[in-house]
Amino acid sequence: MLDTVEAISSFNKNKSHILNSLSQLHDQNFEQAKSHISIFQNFVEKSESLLNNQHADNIFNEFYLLKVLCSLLISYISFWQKISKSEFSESWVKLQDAQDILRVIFRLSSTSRLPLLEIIEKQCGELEKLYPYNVFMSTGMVIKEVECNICGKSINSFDCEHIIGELYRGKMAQGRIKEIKELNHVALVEKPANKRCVVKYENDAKQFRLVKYLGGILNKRLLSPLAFSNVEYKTITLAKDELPQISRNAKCFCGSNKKYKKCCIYKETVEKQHVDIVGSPSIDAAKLNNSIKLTCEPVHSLGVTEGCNAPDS
Amino acid sequence: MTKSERMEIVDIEKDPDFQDFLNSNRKGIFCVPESSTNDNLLMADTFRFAKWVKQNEDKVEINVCKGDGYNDLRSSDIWLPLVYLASDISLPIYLSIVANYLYDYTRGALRHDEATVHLEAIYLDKKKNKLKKFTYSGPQKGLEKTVKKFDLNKFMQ
Repeated sequence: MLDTVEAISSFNKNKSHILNSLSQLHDQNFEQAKSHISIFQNFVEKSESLLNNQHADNIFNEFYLLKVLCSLLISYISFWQKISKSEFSESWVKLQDAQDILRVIFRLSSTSRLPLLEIIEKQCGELEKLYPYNVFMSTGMVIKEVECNICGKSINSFDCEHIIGELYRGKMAQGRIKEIKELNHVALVEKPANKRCVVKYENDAKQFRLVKYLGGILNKRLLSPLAFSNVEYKTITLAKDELPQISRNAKCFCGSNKKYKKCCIYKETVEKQHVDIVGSPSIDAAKLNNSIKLTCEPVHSLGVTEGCNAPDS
Repeated sequence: MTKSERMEIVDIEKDPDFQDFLNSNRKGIFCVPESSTNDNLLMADTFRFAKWVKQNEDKVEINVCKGDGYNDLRSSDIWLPLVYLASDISLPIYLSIVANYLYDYTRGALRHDEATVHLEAIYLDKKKNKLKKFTYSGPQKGLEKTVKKFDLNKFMQ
């Protein structure tokens, strides 16, 4: 992730705070985990303040990356904290924050990706599958004037040499919209620029049942945040006596929306949608620091089945 | 080519703007407003693309037509500007520049991100003296693969 001696030195001197933070996250001490990141960030900012005009642009750029790494870890920890506190709607926003920051880090890093970041990347992709969001709102607009945040010129001109998203001496070029000519539509799309634009559900809404299940096993210490691996959707066959008894006129277990008496009443087994939350046996932080290893309890295939009681309910 | 991909090269009728471009003896790539609307709007990322080409492909000239504004669709899709290609830039060269740009643009993509790319280019088929329009809409990863499979020479005849 880093190339310059200055940034690598700053990282190595203070990475114990990142490892302490991960250790606190493992134990679900979220505030302590965040405070270790804040300490790391303070050290990074202090080291950065010692840089002067003699230092090359890429050194400033790598200090920017270290600060962004702190933002990523804060978002990641906050995500798990929101899950633990059953703030599912807010957790989605933190999940998106973490992924947006990951994209910035991956784009701007000149060398290989930190194993820790690859774990978080994979987790984020899998965690999204637990949420009910498939369609997003996206605005379409006609923009007249966009100003560069670095030189103040119009970013839509060759007078400004900065390209949006690139780093210039530790500062990312961004366009500030000065004038919107027309906001012409809001569309429902599957692939928006911003996945935070969703229909907001209350945190106790049934749409969050899978995330709620995740929160349940998290709070019962059956899963550590760092040990979450992936989500598996499958169809399972259950003997009817494994399911709670329901009346003849109730909706059938199988999700057909028919009455039980007109659906599976005479069947001996029922097919149901099932979701497994799969944990990995260990997270090897040694890749980050050979001297420290975080080990999580093995967790395999804790699952929730539609219509069945989840352990947290 | 998958169902979500669309690539075609079609003959187009006379285009006075493109003719003006040819008569101006400009070189390289000229980014112009979208053809689908009459509002004279450029795509929001036009200058991002144009500046990237200027800074990374120093032998290629690129200019941008003045528009009345920028169409910002706030989508995760990548919308490249409609371009006119001068005689010194062939379609395969342009597509290779686009592939390099997209590689750079999507360097930070996460493994579950799937960017869809939209691009259009108008050029003169010198052999037949006909105007052609190239259109691609599909996954970014599929563009390079599809372009390789695509027998461009066949379409140039």
